Amino acid sequence: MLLGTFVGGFIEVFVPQEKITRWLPEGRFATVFIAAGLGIFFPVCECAVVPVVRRLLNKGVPLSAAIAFLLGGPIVNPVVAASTAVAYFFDWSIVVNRLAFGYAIAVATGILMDTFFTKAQAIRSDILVSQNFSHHPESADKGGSISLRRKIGGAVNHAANDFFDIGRFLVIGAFLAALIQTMVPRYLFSSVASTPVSSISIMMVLAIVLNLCSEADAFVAASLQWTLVPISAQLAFMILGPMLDIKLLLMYGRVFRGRAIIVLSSLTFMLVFLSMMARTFVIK
Amino acid sequence: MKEKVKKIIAVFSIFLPAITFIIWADAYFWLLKGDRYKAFLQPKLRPLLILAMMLLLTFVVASISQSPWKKKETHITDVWLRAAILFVPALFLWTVYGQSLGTHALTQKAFDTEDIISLPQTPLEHSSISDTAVITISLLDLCKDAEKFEGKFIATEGMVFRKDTIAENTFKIFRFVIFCCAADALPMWISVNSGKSRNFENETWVKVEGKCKIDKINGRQVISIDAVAIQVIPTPPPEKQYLFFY
Repeated sequence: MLLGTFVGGFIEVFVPQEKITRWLPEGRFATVFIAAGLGIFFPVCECAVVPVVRRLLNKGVPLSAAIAFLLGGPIVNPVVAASTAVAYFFDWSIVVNRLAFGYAIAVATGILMDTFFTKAQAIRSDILVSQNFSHHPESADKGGSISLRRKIGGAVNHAANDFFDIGRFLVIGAFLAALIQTMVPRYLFSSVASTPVSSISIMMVLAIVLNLCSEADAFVAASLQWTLVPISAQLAFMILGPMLDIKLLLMYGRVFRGRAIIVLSSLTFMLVFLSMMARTFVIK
Repeated sequence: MKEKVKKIIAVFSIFLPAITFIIWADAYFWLLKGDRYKAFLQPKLRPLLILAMMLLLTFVVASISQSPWKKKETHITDVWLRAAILFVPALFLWTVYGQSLGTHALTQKAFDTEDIISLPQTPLEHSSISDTAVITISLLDLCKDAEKFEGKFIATEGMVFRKDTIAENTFKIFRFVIFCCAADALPMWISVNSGKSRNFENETWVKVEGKCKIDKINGRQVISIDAVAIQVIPTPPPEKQYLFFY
């Protein structure tokens, strides 16, 4: 997350809004398809991606693309692919399934969110205010000649402010997850996972409450290989976790409005559930 | 007087973010010193810890030299609340160091407690290791490559886990294996058949020597040791209690 805030700070200061607009492809959804796969080039975990997305939204990146990157970035990336491969003893079908479904769900959620909300409806007003009227003297959008030293100082300032602002939600989320890990035994989850519906749902709830990092969760999922929990449920755990958990819900609160968070969470949950159910029946 | 106190609090609040970053940077330094981070984290993450500490130091400089316009933006109570929450992880580190995951975590983190509670009690074959080479192996390597060691004499270390419901001559030894940090720690355990009643306390560290066996129970591979020697060993320092994937 420290790195994420740092990258966010440098985006704020060194990347002007018109440059981002120029980089974005034309067409409403083309950006979404690219954004969901950007993690391949910029591998980020789910904690780091939130401050980056906050700054990107501030720079005029469309809502659909920002959400696609927010959800896809922590899954569709080489570090996650490698850790999943290692955890599943190089069973590449699991890796492909995880990345492909993660990508598709990120794209679908981005497009759906863009259909339901305008950017102004979804994003917190303070982010939009700073987008429309950047009062930060070092911002790349201010124009004028600012020395490199001052720009770097400004970028670090933004990073420090973001960390001080969002860091507390990571701490609260981690505390809640630790509490749940201590109080609720995991076998309760695996023991009731007898049907596809129950196993997928339960593994998704487990993903939300455990708050594991996307780069490590495959090991926990892989430990279920020899239980009754089916592969689709293990995949549901690995796909939903990086998109939605307690700490992320709290951190999303610094980017999105309450209604948007509810819709985003429900959509993500539903899409993961439906896609994994579909996978179960297609593979069968 | 009240005004003066308010003024002091307001001035202090301006530097609160910098103080918070100093505390965090110090916590990272404390973790790196003497490899204490190994009691919480995968050793390969050391470069990232150093990077994080350096980033925090730049945050300290930035916060102190920040322009006044930024400092007026946030309410004082909010600043104190953020700082208080961010102080918790550092406090946690300094208070929890020395403790590690034990039997409670084992039962909470295991997905299948059936295996922990009631492993089969196979009769002990009386064997001798006096003229046999003993392979010393970690519990992780044993669990990963059990077939390689089947029928061989091995020595491994771990913590004792006993349930009242299982026979007195049988217990488990376990250790936690970490990929990134203690949050993703997974328990690895094997069964030990000691031949005679041994009343080891739970979480006692032992070194077990004996013959490695593999049984198939409900389609699962269950590893056990027919022990010929069980020795209580001192509890390792916190940074050596976990095993690490890769």
